Amino acid sequence: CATLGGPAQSEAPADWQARQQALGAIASFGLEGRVSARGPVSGSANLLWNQRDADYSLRLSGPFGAGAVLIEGTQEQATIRHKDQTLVTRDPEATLRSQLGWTLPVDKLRWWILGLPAPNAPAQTQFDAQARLRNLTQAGWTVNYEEYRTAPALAPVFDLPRRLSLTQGELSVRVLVDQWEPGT
Amino acid sequence: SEAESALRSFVEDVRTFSANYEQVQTDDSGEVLQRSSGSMALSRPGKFRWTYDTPYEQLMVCDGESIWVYDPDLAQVTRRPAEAALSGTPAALLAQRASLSDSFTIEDGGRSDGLQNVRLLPTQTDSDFKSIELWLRKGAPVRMRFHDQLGGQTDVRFTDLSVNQTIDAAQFQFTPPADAELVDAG
Repeated sequence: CATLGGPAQSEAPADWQARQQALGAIASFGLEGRVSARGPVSGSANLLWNQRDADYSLRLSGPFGAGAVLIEGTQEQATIRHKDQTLVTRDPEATLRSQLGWTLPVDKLRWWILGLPAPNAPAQTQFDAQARLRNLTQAGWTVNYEEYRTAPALAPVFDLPRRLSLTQGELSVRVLVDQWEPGT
Repeated sequence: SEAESALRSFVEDVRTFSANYEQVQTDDSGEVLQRSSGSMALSRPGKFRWTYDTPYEQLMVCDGESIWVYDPDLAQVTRRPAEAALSGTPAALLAQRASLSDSFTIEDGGRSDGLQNVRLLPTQTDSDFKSIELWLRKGAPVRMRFHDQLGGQTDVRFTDLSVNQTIDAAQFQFTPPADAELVDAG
């Protein structure tokens, strides 16, 4: 797998445009991975994510399906199911934090997970020697890309993030991607 | 009932148990979400080891005091106190010496070709599971199925069962590797 090397550059290298265009065109994807949160509530969970344009479903669960959380949403609103609760919210990030003590910026993460800043929102970016995003500050979060890996099933040319961490205040969430699939 | 006596024999006669397993997780429409496999061992009272080999490596060890979850790819160890995590969970089922009737209501799921089905309904209100099913043959678990709160299921089938053999105590101990981050999760 390709690990990071060389100094971080702040201005966008030439072939970043090509990467941004190719990966930005990915309208839907599926991913299997893991999430580990450290903060007010700490713990780790298995992650199953299905994205089709702006519609998404994220399923997080512990061993044997314990503590399963299902977040299904569109651009406008999301439904969060956990234990015997079903919550409808226009701000899933805030609802997750208040209900479960951890959170994920779901609508932004959909871009960050591909190694891209979310569109139409200011962002500070730093790139590695291979013109890949190394860190990003956006929407109150700091994202660090620790490792990239090729994922031919979804992106034939450009490699995709394998390990990244998101931090906001005292909450830090690490995301590890085990498998990418084309969107269903 | 037959279910209660089969369960009692599992809790009281099975002092140690080890097996390999295949696990299939499905959602509320029955669609397969993920398959995994690995091995497990338990030693009563209070100790068990659960390893995931595929799709990725992960290790869970309960040494009687703490439950450790080690994820080598994340280089992270999460530790929880055993009793807090034990009540009404698969861990309680696997490792508890005490009767299960304080954390579960026991239902008889019927018997077929030598297998006794036992349904366990957690008495704890906000449990992670709606119910847990056990299939026991002479007190040893052959299959477990967890019904999660989202209507999904985790079906675990055991093979290469070994009952009441001696198991090296080190299997139920865990020391976090030096390079791993330790997270104390309450």
